[in-house]
Amino acid sequence: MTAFCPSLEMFGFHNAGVGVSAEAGALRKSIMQSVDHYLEPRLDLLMPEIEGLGTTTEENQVVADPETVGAAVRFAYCLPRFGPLPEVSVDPDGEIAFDWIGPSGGKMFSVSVNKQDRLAFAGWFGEKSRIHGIEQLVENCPPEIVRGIRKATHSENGRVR
Amino acid sequence: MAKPGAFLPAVDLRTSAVATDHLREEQVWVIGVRAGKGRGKPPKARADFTATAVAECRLTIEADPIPGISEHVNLCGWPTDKSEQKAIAQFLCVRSKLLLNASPDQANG
Repeated sequence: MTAFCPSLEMFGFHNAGVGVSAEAGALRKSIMQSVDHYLEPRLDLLMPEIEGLGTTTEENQVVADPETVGAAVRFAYCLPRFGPLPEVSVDPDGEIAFDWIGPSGGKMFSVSVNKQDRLAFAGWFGEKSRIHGIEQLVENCPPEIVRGIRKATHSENGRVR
Repeated sequence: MAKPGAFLPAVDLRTSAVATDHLREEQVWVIGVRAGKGRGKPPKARADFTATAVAECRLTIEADPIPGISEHVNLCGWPTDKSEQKAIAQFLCVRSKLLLNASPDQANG
């Protein structure tokens, strides 16, 4: 009998090394299917919110153009699989913002996406702990942004809100 | 807490606000209704912040009276870098006080 120990790398969709049994491979596949099953509802919740920003129901409301909506969708697919879903909205300049608020409301992290896949981010984690910067969306979510999301959404004891 | 995006500037790098130092509470909400006429409904809430907080961000307050709102001002001096704008907006958000409209269904003004 093979004892299988799931690792965090698996949930990051990294392939395990060689030397695993068929039973271990089947179990990993089952876990991957479960993770995909969990991921799909998250995107199902987020995508309509993003696509809705390209339409308006209120006069004088800023509407995102289709190219910006497309960039926001691409960014959404790259988001890490942990933590709460962000709130999405349109900035006054037409970019789409993804906002995460911490458990106690004292921390926040935000990313604004423009039509050129430019990611402008800023984080407030305390009076003396703030960050901001620019990244370009290529394939994966930039590490700086992943760290910002984690820092804003994890409570003091390390638990996710 | 107010949402930081509410403080971001428009493409002209100005954020619309109202100077409320010499106004009574009910007068402030009346102005909010006037400002929100285009939305067709009164404001649900507002964020109050001080001129000191604005100065801490190195922004300036410029008077810009508009029809019906003589107290209208603009926050100016925003940087062009979007990430810096977002950082300033978060600062103002933390320094502001969110007040809910106790009578959101009233459309007086």
